[in-house]
Amino acid sequence: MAEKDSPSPDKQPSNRTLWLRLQTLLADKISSLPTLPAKMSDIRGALEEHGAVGLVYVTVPRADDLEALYGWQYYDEFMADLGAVLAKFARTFLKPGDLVVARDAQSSEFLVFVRPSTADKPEEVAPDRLETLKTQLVNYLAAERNADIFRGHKQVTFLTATALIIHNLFSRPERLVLAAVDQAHRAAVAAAETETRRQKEILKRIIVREEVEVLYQPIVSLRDFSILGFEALSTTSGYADIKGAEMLFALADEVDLSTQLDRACRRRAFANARRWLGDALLFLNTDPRTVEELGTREDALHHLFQDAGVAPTRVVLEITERSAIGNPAAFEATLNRFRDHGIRVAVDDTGAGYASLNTIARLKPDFLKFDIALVRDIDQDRVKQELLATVQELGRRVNARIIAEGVETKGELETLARAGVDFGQGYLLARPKMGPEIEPHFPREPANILEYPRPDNRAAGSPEEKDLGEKNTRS
Amino acid sequence: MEKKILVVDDEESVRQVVSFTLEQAGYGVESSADGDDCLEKVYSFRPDLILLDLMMPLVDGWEVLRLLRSNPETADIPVVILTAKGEIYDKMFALQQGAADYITKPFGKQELLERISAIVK
Repeated sequence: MAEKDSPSPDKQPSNRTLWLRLQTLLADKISSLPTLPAKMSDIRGALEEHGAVGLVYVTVPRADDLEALYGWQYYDEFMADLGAVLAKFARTFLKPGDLVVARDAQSSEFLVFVRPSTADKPEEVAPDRLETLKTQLVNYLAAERNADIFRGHKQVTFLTATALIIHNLFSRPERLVLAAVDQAHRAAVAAAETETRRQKEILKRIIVREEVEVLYQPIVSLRDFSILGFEALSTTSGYADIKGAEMLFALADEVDLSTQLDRACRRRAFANARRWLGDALLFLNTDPRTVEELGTREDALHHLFQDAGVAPTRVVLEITERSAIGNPAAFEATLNRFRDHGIRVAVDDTGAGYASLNTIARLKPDFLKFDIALVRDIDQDRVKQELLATVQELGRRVNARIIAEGVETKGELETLARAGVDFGQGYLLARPKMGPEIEPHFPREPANILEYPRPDNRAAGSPEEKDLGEKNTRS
Repeated sequence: MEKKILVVDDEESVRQVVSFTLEQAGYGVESSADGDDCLEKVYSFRPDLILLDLMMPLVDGWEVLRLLRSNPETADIPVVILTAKGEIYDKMFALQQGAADYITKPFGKQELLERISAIVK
């Protein structure tokens, strides 16, 4: 039978395969929008019929980073949401014959093409009508974002611009359309650069004055709800342009002030926590670049714990994947040096990012934090349960405990506890608090949220704690 | 009704062993030696499940999975990834891309049949 033969080296893909490939290029599967090439003939038709077509351009700046930071699940979910919101916008605000398309398959650039209306001057789309439409789009995206349609994607911003495409006899319509898209793209980028410069100045001020507020969210055992430690969550308020932590850190990353911001947050976190931390662990979000920077200093530890008032053995560096690790060998050496002093290491957002297993294994983490996006609705999502199982498998292999992030529903908690996840963190278990509020309630009563058999062990020095202490002294 | 399975692997020995095992278990089986042929057979054979190798010449398993998923006619056919790669990353990515399950080579006859019957029953 021919089907048992190996393919000959000069075999070309069949027409079927080529057709399927073409299809995937003409519709953006993630946003469920058609692509510009698929709709080009419609746009050309409109341009020839009306003499002009208006363009409103919208893009997600640094979409690549979004994927690198938060993983493909996050990215795809976000783009699917954005596609749905744009389609809804089109139904609400656009007229028949107007179009919303993705620039290409997998693109993060979206284009709204509008025909001249009867109110416009003949053969022209009035520029102020385009501006109005752009404003409507910006407001609409902002409203939907705040209405939580973009599940947890609140920090994402959009860039918009408009362009007018006017038919002329000397250029082919397709080229006019492509030129207009490029022009709108450049206009959007230029506007964004101005905005970034302004925000950088604000951020510098925040860092220099250490104007960050630190909240502490308990991380608790899913077996007896005893407290393992607290993640220090830094945010800032008082600046209208920087809303919330995600935006603060995204901005620092964008303008290359991450290590400086890390330092300010760390200092604030220590300053509060030393009064009440006791035996609990303090989880500090740490940009890989901070570790790299400290790696070059002889007095790194002194620098890190200078005036801290918190013992290194109480500290867990939570390595976030905000930037790639430039020199893995040096990075590991620095981490090992820290580890010799009892500092522990956690890997943030495990399961979401692109960090390969080797990378994670080589960091020899004490904790793997299972990503919030994968915890969301895990009780109803078999794929997420599978992902949890693989992360747990990884945890066993590298001898790391699992912490589930962002536990918000009873269903999620039950699924995680039943799967044998060690620790959890999230609104259902305990909300982030200012330091002083924690003190009187520490150790906390186990939250009365699970009808789940558990040992009557409510002391802070839980078995987990002793376990971890032993683990830390292993050679 | 007899359930139909399409086995896609560029190694003839794997195709033969897996096909034989599945036929013994009462499945209707056809096989493809590459992704391109698989994409043709999906339409003629209309399988209830596809066992798909990842590393193949011409059109690899990732692309087959992507193309199957992006076409409404074939989007619902469960695909079980069959590969020598044991990386968790691959496994997570395969599931994310819409694979129904993932079997790492070498695998036992029992494991293969159990995983398949869990999906097509």
